[in-house]
Amino acid sequence: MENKENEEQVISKRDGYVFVVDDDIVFLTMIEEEIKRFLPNAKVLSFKTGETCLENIQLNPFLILLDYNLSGDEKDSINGLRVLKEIKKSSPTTEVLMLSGIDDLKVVVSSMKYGAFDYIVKGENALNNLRSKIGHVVRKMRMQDDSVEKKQFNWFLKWITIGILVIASICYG
Amino acid sequence: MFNYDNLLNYVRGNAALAAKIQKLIIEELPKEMLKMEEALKNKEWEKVGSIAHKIKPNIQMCSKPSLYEFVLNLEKDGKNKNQTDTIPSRVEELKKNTEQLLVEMKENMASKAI
Repeated sequence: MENKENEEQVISKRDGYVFVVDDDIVFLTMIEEEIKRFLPNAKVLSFKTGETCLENIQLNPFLILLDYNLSGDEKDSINGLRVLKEIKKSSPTTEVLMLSGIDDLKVVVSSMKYGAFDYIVKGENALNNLRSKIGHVVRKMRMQDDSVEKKQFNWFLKWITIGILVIASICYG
Repeated sequence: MFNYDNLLNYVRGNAALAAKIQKLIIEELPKEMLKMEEALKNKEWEKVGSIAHKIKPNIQMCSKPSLYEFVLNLEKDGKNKNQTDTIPSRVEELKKNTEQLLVEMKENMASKAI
């Protein structure tokens, strides 16, 4: 119980940018509001098109929720899968959760193939699944952060040890 | 036609968010239906299907399963250009159902004094 509470605290403390990309303003609003509730320290930006999302990719969001069937009304606007590929090219550390009204294995496989972290179906359990999958993303990022910290500590320890050995060899011949 | 409990379930009991969603659906659904009628006039069956796909989650959120199924079938037939001779009457039926849905949503909001 204590671990779960700590984990929820960790998730809620996560800051940085989160993008939500969907041409359905109703679903966009719903997702945006829900993310603001359990990631109160994150800055949530919403986009109705893939193009506007990619124009802001330099903000280096740690998470993007992206509609698979993103097409908009414009004939040449880019679809969700193409946006996913561009995101992974420009910002490889950004995790992407695909959103779709389609519960189709082919869609899931193609999303994962191009680097999506996971997939959420736009159904009655969408918000429950959203919470759970964002938790997975934050946990993964925490493990990566811990791993970086550990490497930095080991590097520091290594040079302290070398320093001590050098001093010892000078003092004692 | 309108199922408030279903909508509330979708937004995990957040009544304020449910109200926000209702307002948005009341604004956006008529616009999408107009686009669908325009696409129908031009016999752009795939576009009819595409608009049906777009409104489908909103219908699922706040209406009965039979209406959702109706929109789903319209989406499939539109996108695959199947049974195109039945599409005009189905769009007309969908228009009546969505108008009824919106009336009920507005009544629900008025009763909650939102």
